[in-house]
Amino acid sequence: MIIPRLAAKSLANRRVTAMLTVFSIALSVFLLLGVEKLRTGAKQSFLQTISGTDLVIGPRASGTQLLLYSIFHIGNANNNITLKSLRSIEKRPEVSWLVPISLGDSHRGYGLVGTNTDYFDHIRIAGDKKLQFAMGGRFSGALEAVIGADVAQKLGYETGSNFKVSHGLGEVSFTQHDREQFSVKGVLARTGTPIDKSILVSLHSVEELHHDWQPGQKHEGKEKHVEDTDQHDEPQLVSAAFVGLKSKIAVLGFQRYINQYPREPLTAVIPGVAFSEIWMLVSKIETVLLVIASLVAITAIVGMIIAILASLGERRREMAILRSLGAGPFRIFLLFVSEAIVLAGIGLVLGAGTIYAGLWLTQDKITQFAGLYIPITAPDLNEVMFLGAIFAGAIVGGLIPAIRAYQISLSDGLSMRL
Amino acid sequence: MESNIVELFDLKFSWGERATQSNVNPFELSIDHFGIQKHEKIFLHGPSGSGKSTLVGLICGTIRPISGEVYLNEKNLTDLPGSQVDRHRADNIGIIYQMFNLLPYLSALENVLLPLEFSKTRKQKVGTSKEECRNEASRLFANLGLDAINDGNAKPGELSVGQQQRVAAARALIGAPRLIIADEPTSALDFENQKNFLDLLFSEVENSNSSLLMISHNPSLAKHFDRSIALSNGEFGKGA
Repeated sequence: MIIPRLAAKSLANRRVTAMLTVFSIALSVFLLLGVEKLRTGAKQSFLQTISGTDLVIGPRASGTQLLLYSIFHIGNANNNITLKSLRSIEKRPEVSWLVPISLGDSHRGYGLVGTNTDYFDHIRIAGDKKLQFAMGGRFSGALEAVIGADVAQKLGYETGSNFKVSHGLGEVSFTQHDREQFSVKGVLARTGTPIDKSILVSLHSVEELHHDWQPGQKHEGKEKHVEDTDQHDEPQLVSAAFVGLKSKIAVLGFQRYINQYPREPLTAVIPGVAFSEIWMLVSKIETVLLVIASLVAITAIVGMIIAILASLGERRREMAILRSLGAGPFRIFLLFVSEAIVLAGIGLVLGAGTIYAGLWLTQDKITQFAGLYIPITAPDLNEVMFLGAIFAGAIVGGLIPAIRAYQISLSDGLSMRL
Repeated sequence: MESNIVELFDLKFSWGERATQSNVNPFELSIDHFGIQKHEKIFLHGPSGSGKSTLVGLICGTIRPISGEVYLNEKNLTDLPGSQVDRHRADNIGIIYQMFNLLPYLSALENVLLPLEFSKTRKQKVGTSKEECRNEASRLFANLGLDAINDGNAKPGELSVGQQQRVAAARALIGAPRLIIADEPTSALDFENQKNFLDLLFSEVENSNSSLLMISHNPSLAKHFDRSIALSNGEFGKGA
């Protein structure tokens, strides 16, 4: 086809304007795709903060609240649940595994998670990845800790470092558990989840901290020694538990069973469902971002229309020459539509290319700094629709100068007006 | 009559009807009969605004008359739909303008080959392979004294005005259309180049068995033509 070739050559002849137009379209594609990738990436990492866990069990509370404190360590647990109930739940035939967690203490703003070593076997992140150690290994005894990547990085800890723990979650706390010193046994690899900001210790250690305590009161007097730890049993109370079931089909029934648990008021939430509920709260921001990106796309298309329209005046001679060679007004029309297609097409490829190249280059950095894992995947349906919308918008916009060119070439005919 | 390339009958045209244009004063063109025979070279002259360009537009079918008939190579343009008129023009007419004939973003060679993209008839006359098309362009370049740009890769902006006009002539001539229309092709050239250009154009027009309609307001060129017609106020002068 001669017309698209002419359009491309004509554009190459006006490459500065053409390149600026392409650049603005590419920018809008970049922005729109970028927002969309971030959005889906954020949502994905959010929804996959914990995977492989079928239910989270906690005291009677709203599902959202339970999820926020048990997984995101946001807010406090108002109540605890008894380990005794958990032990009997664990024996149910539906249950594959159960990992209790005990929250409430912290070290310089990083929350302490009391749990057992099953945690490392069963908690999965980002799809189905097991927790990896960057350094050291699991805790085995009391007053040993495994710290998340952020904790290690921000506080400069490594295996062998020692630290003390304070009561409550504040960064500055006036009540220190200052007798017991934890030592770091392992550092987890970065997960992009709240685990990075956690300090994992054994339930025994947590019990150790609170041994002989009256609620809210600092214990005075009696000295206690680390050596005693092993004599203590597990704590009677924990904050929540993560549960994996043998069959996913059993989830709903088992959730009902927990919610109606006769011996203790319990709540069970399905993480995916509760995550979606929380995500709904955030989705307004997504919409705003998308609207802004769409406006940028519209601006780019309008810019392209202006650029082509502005060129019409100086190109009446070109149109007359083409007419004299036998090009009909409709071909002139197609020439200008082709131009819009070429501009939009290059802009699309350039913008999408930049996104993927940028992601490829900065994926690690994004995970590191924003805790977001953005996978490099082919454009999904949404993204294809966005690209399609920009392309279609550009073509529809390109009709405006094309129709004008059609009219001009019809009325000018062969005469070279300027 | 049948063998005439162009035949106009009872033609009436008025710019007043198409008041959208900048032509403020209503202008009328009225021609009872006008024909261009095969191999004929016609010189059309007249002052500005006498209707020369309008006549060209009518022959080319880009302007439609109010009444009358326009035959181009035995087809009545007034009966044809626009798209067919365009194709018929591409097949039968090569046009040379006063200046700025060439598309600035194509090389000289690409400019010359462009009509073949719009006309199958002319392409078949040249040959369907790329090689044959290039050879024909090279031949025209050589015959029109454009040996200096034989490869034709130069852009129009790199050529002199005289060279550009010859490239334009080559473009009009390629594929041997039945009629060459030259609208003041020499007015941008100096005297020496004018004569030179006309000589080359004539020999190539004869070579390709085409007819030539040349428009000019320089009557001194008239003597080189088979026939000279004066147009004033939209009508042919005596002796047309």
